Amino acid sequence: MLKFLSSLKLAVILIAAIAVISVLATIYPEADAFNSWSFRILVMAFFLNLSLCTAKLLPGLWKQLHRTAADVPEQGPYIAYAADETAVQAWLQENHYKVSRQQEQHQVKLLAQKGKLGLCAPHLLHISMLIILIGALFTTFHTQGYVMGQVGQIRPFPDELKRAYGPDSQVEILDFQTVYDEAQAIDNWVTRFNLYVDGQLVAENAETKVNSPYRYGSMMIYQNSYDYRHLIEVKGSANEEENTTYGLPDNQPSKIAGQTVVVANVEGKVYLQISDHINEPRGQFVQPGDVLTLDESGATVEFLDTAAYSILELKTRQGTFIVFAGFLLATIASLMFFSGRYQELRIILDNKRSRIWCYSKSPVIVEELQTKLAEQWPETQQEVS
Amino acid sequence: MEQLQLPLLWFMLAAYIGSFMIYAFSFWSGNKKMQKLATKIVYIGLLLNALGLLIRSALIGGLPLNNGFEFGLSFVFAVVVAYSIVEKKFDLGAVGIFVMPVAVVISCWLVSIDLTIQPVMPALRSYWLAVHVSAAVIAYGSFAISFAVSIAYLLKDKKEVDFQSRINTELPALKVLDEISYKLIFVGLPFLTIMLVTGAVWAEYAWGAFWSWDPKETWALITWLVYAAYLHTRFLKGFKGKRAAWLSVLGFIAVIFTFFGVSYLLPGMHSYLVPAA
Repeated sequence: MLKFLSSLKLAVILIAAIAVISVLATIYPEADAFNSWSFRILVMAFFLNLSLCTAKLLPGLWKQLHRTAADVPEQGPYIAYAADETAVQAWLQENHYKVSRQQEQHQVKLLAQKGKLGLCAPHLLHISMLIILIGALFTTFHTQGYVMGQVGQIRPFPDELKRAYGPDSQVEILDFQTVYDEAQAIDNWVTRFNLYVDGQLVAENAETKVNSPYRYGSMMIYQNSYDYRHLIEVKGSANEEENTTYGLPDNQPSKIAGQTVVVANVEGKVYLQISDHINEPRGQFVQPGDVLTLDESGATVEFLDTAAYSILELKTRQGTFIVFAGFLLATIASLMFFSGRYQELRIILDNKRSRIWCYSKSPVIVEELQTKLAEQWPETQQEVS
Repeated sequence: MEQLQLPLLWFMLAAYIGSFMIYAFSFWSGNKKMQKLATKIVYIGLLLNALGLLIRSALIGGLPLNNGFEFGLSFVFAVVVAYSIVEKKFDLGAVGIFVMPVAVVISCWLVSIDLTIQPVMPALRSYWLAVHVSAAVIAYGSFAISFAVSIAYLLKDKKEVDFQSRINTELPALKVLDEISYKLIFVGLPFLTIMLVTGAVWAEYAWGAFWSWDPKETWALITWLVYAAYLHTRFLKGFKGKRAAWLSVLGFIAVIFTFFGVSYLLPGMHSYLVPAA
């Protein structure tokens, strides 16, 4: 059972299954396959398989990396031919092999290795994937929420984050700007703010913008998006609570003091419409300071201005550092692949008869050595193996 | 300078079509001189391709990797550069007949889309873009050649019994084709890994989530899984040769779907890549 769970065969089956489900999930997004238990079980099975496989292979890798000439076995599928040690050592040096040498009574053992980084690369990549998956598990416990506010407003933390940072945690929006580049294209959106954690000012005039979130401890504050709100003030309503300032989204009906109010941007001008659902809707283009009658009781609505609304995303980063560590390791492992394939030559030199026995997993290398020795050192002659 | 782009693209396309036709002629006639001529025309196309990239860079004041057109132009450049390297290193001119159609198809798409320079959206104004997209270009370029070599393998594999067949005489031994395809995937996969990793890190800074199961990133992962399966199955008995070649073809279908299919059919956070026709 353990053998199967750690097998390459299972790894390939799981990779194929994850790939197929991912294909289906993008074609039928409504199925929400990535949040289904079957997909999670599949990923867990993959994690288990990868862990066991890595655990199984690492001791062998360790041994391989620390092998010396003393470990070169006497018996094996060696190819024998005539050569002397100087010629062999010269060839190995020329081909950037690291050589371990052991002198014995009638023979010399050589273990030549190169490409150790390349040998470690897939194992390191597997470890990095395990780290990423562990980190990803932690990130499922993150908390996240949005703060929306106009310049000058103090907005409370979303409820999800209040639990972690205290009920008096707030963001005071000091400024929100759309920054343009030289060609007058939008370069970025920048919000400046004061940050209060449980009543204490912890960041003054802090800045967040797209691609450059603000970090406070394990919390990140992102410039998520922005919007505009039409500000109107209601006065004279019989219900005192209704006499206040409202920020209305563009072209969306809002119920205010029993009336439906819509403020819309029409070709650069602001149109304000009031409807009581009995009479015909009333409306007109307005400018800041214009006042309209809201209802028959004498309540009025004054258009104040159209103001930008910054939308910030607040998120705690549980597990993200672990995922990033995995990413870093994956990048290092990927670069290590280019250091060359691992090559190993086991050579036994019989000094008495000037003969060597040579073995490598890649027969091409042995052939290459034979050819080069025969070419460069004519005294070296191939023998029948 | 903006007006220069389209004529340059047409000349580039003409060079790639021309080289393909001469490769085809040399393939069926066995004329090696024609094959060399085709390779020289590939170099001319490559030069025009490079000029197109330079002009675009000058126009936008940065690396031409911001949208579908710029990525496509870089992609076709990577495909032809990768082919030129492989052709020189392994004397693989006969494979040109399978590689150039890939370059021609992408170039045809490039001349059919809107080349107007649009402002780059704020989320894309990041240093991560250069690393992320460059890694994708190199990976996809390698996979494109591996795909062409695998197609050559599959055709040769079918014709191997017929010793008179041009496919059999012109193309290198099956073992050589298999090895080259493997080596190209071995180069491409680490770059694809770097592309996924840098994309995820960037997404964390730009969008607040390193992974969102957006169709583009999901398909990039699917592509990665296919090539990872390719490398793993090589260690299993019987997964060299024909089966490996089919996996390489499947991998490149995933690449093409990630680039074209997802952009046009599956809208998501990467939708800015879709250029107008």
